[in-house]
Amino acid sequence: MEQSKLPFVFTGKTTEFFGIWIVNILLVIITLGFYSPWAKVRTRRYFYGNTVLDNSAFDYTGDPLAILKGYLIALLLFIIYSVSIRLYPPTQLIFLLLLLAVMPWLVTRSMIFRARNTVFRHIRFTFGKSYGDAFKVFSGLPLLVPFTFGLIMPYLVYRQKRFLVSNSGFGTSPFSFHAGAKDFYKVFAIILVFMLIAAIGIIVAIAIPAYHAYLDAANGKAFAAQAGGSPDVMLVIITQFVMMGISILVWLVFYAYLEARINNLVWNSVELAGNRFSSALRARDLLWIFMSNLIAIICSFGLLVPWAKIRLARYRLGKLALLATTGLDGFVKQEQENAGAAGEEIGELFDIDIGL
Amino acid sequence: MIKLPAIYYDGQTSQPTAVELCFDDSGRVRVAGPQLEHSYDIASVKSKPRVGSLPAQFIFPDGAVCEVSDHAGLEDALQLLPKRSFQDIVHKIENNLMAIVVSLVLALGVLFVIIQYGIPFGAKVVAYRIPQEMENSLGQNALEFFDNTLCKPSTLAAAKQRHLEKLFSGALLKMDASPIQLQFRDCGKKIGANAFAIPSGIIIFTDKMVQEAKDDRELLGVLAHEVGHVRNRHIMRQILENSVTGLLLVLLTGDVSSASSFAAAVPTLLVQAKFSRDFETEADNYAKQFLKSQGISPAYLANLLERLSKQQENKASGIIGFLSSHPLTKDRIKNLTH
Repeated sequence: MEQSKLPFVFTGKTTEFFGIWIVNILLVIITLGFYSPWAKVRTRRYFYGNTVLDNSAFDYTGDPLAILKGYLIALLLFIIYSVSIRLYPPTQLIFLLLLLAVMPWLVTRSMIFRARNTVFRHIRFTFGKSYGDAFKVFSGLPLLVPFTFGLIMPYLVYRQKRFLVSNSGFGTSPFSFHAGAKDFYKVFAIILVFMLIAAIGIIVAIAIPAYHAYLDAANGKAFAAQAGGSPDVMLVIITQFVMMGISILVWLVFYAYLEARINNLVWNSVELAGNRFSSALRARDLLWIFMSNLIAIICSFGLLVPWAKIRLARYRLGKLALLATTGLDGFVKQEQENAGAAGEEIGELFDIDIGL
Repeated sequence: MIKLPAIYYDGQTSQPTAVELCFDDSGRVRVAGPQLEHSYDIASVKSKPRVGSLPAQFIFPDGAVCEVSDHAGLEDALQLLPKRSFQDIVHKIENNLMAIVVSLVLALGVLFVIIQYGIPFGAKVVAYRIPQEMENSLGQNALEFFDNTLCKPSTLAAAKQRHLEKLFSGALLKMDASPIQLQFRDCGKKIGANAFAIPSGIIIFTDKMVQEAKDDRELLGVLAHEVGHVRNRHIMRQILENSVTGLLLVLLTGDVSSASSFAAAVPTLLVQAKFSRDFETEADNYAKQFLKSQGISPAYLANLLERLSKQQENKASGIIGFLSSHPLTKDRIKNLTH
C-alpha cells in the first residue's frame, strides 16, 4: 500500500466550548468543587471528540467517579503534606524521598488510566506495566542529575520519552520509538548556549537593578499594615509587573522551544504497525500563541480561556499528521483490566508533567 | 419508527461501517448495513451523554457502538432509551444561548459573593481561633527581616523614647490590648514616616513618624490604628484570604500546571489590594472610636495623615486608587472626621 499523509484535524469551536466551559465553572462553584471530575471529563471529551483523523474522532471514556476518588486521595495526601511541613519542616525531605520512590508507580498508573480511557474508533489505547523500567527512568536516573551537572538531562528526557512511547499501544499493536540519545542532545545543546547568554544578559542588564528597586519599594509593604499614606505603591506594583513579565517571557521562550523541538522529535520517531507520524511545530509560532493567549486571558479576566485553549489545540493538531502505509481499519482490541485514576490525580496535584 | 444514518463499530476492530439505525415500535433497535444485521432490545441500549455537537453514541450490550451525528429524529430516538444521565440536562444548557448567558452571570455573581463576603467571613472565623502564639515565629522573622534589610536602631533621644513608652503603655492599658510590643527603628527615607503592625502583636514606629508628629495625640491615633490591626487579627486574616483567593482563582481559570496560572495572578493581586483597604478602614474606625473614648478628636490622626500625604505628593487617583493597598488618604480623612 502506498504511503498517504493523513492530517489530524481539530474541529472544536470557541463559541461551543465557551458554553461547556462556563457551565462547568458554575457547577464546580455551586457544588463546592465536587463537580470538577465531571467537568474535567466533559472538557476532555470535547477535545478528544473534536480531534479527527481519517474521518474518525477520538473519545475519552474516563469515569468521573474514579477521578473523584483519585481527587480525594490526592487532596488527603496534599493536606497531610502541607500540614506536616508546617509543623516540622524536615519532613519535606522525607516526602521528597517518598515521592521519588512512588513516582514510577504514579506515572505508570496514570499512563495506564489515560491510555485505557483514550479511544479511537472504539478501540482502546493500552499502556504496559513495567515498574522496573519506570523506576529506572523516573527515580534512578534523576538522582544522577546533580552529580553530572545536569549533563545527563537530555539522556534522561530521551529515556523517559522512550519509556512512555514504547510501553504504549493501540489495541494489540504496540508503538515503537526510533530516536536516539544523540537527537536529544542536539535539541538541548542550543538551549545550553542560549541559556548561558540569556542568563548573563538578564543578570547584568535587568535583574540586579530591578531587584534592588523592588526590594526597596516592596519591603515597606512586605508584612506590614502601614499607618501612613502609601509610599511608592505604584513603584511596587510596576516593578512587580515588570519582574513577573520578564520571568514569564524568559520561561515562555524556553518552554516554547523545548515543547516544539521535543514534540517534533518524539512524534517523528514514533511507529505504529508500520505507520509513522509527522509533527512540524515551530517554536516561534508556539511562543506567539502562548504570549497572545496569556495577554488575552489577563485582559479578559479569564473569559478568553476557552478561546485560548481551542486556538492552541487547533495549532498543535494542525501540525500533526499520520504517514499511513497500512490504513487504520485493521487494529484489533485488547482485553484489559480496569485502572484507577488515583495515579493521575496525585501526579497532577504535585505538578508532575506526564504524557507525550 | 425512527431511521437514522449511523457509523457502526463492532468494538473489536477499528473498522467503521456506514449503517442505518432503526427504532421500531415493538421496542427493538435494528442495525442494518452491508453484510451486517443486528437487532437489540431497546432496554439494553445505553447512550453516552453528548458533549457539544459531537455525534451521539448508542452503546449495545455486545460492546458495539453506533455514532449518529445531528439528524432529524435523533432527539426522539434518545428519548426512547431507558436510562438517561443528568448530564443530558447539562448538554441542553450548554447549547442554549440564554442559559449560557445566565450561567455566566450566575458564575460571576456567585464568585463575587464568595470573594467579597464568603472568604473574608471564613478568614475572620478561622483567624480568631488561631492562637496568637502561632504567629510568634512569623513575627520574629518579620522583625529580623526589617532589622537586617531596612531599619537601624532608633536614633531618638532616650528621654523621648521613655516619654513615648510611658504614653503608649498608658493608652494600651486603656485599650485592654493583648500583649503588644513596641519597637522604635530608624528606617530611612524609603519607608519614611510610618508605623507597622507585624505578626504576634509587634508594632514598629519609625523615627520619622515620631518626628513628624506635632502632638502626642497624633501618635496616639497612629498607635490606636495599629492596635486596630492587631486586635482584629488583620495579618492572619490577610494571609488566609490571600491564599484561599489565589487557590480559588487558579483552580477556576486553568489547570494548576498550565501557563494560565500566571494570568490568574493579576486578578488575585487586585482582589488582595482591595482586602487590605477594607482592613485599613476597619483599623481607622477602631482608632476613631478609641480617640473619642479618650476625649481626643480623631481630627489629630486625620491632620497627621494629611501632612504625610502632602509630603509624599501622593497623587493617587483613578486607577491608582483602585490598585492602592490603602484607601485614598482623602477618603480616610473624611471617614475620620465624620
